[in-house]
Amino acid sequence: MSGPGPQGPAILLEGVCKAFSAQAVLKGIDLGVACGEVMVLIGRSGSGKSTLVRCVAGLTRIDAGRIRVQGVTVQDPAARLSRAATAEAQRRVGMVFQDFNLFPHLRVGRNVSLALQLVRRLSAEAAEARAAEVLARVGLAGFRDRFPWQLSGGQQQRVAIARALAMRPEVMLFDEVTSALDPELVREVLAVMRELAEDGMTMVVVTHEMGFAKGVADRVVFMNEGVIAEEGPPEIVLAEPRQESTRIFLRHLMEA
Amino acid sequence: MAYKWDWAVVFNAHTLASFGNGVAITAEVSFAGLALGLALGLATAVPRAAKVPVASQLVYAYVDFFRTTPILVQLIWVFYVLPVLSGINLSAWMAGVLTIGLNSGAFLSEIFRGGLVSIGQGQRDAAQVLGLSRAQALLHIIVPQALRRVLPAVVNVLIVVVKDSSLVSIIAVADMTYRAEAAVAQTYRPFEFYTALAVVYFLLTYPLSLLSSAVERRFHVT
Repeated sequence: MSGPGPQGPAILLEGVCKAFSAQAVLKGIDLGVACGEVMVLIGRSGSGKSTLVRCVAGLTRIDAGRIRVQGVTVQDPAARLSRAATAEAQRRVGMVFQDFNLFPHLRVGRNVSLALQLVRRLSAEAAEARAAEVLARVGLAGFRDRFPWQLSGGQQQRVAIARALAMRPEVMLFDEVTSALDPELVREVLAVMRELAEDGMTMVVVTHEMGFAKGVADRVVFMNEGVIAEEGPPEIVLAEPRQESTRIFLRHLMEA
Repeated sequence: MAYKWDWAVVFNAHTLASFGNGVAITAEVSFAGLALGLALGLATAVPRAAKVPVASQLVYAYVDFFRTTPILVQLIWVFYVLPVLSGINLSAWMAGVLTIGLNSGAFLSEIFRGGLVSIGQGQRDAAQVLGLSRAQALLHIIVPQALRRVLPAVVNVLIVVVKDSSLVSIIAVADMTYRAEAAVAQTYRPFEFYTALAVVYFLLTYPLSLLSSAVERRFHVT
């Protein structure tokens, strides 16, 4: 891995604002994610956590502020950015979605190898070999020739993780990736994510899985109404939150 | 009814040869018209689905014009009026193909547009975070899925085109309808010739619907 070196955080958000038709969703977010850090984002729906990761992935344009990935500015409405540099930095970010978003018309192997050929310009053989490698890593070595609809939800989500990993991202974003899964399938997906964390991947994880947050996160960030209400190590934020809003959120989660 | 069928008027070497040529011309006009229609439909659906400012209004005008006027009127207009206005002389064959292409293209454009917009944002998001360009996403992710979804509707248009191609007989393109009419004029046996004509149209179009089912089974997509 060509690490970013000592020049600073993997992701840095400064004063990030985003509104959807006058509805402010992000209200000046300042946030840094260190290399190798696992950050878990929690908060009730509508608090802005999904929008935040979508902005980092480049799927949503921000209105104000700046987002940098490994020192390279990928979004800054106030500046003119070099498209090529932005695209290059954006490619270091992988993302996994709640609904998997596998390509239903392509076999599992092709889901993984397509972008390797089109974007990374690997040969067909090299792309297939890389696909086999990452599929094995998520425990799906024999699934290359299946179609997504032939797989369980948990398997589909692992394919989606493999597809992102194949591109050798240096940061991985997970947007509620277990929310659409049956409870018994959640574990296999979390296990893959846990392994990734142990391998030192920089991760931003939006989730309601408090067990994962407790066990794997280096830091938990609680978002409320478009701002970061509280952050800190999981044993503090989840066990002895200082903010009333955090306490209420966690209590509701327990009662659910 | 005591009509006495006389199939010998159809099944004789001379008539069959003439009819065979007609079938070839029907196939030719349909095929060329469809090729034009498919190309037009796809090319116009993409800017319309993407809501490209000026292009999508132009496409809208094109689609609405050809959807709201009868193909028979369009055919006559293209063959008789267009050459006078534009100074471009079209053969009857060219006028037929052009009209069929423009007409089916308008319907196909709407079908393709529907297919394109039916592919969810999630697919585009996934393509984008993998670094695919918009063109790559369209070509490898969106269009292949859209085509599979709209296949039954497209086959409908193909069948309509083969049948509508019979209209070119009125501008004296010697397709199979034209030949049947000529034979009727000579033999006074309309029952036999129009029955035979219907059977041949069925034989040409039915394989298309079979093909459609086969392709659907082949590309099982949720």
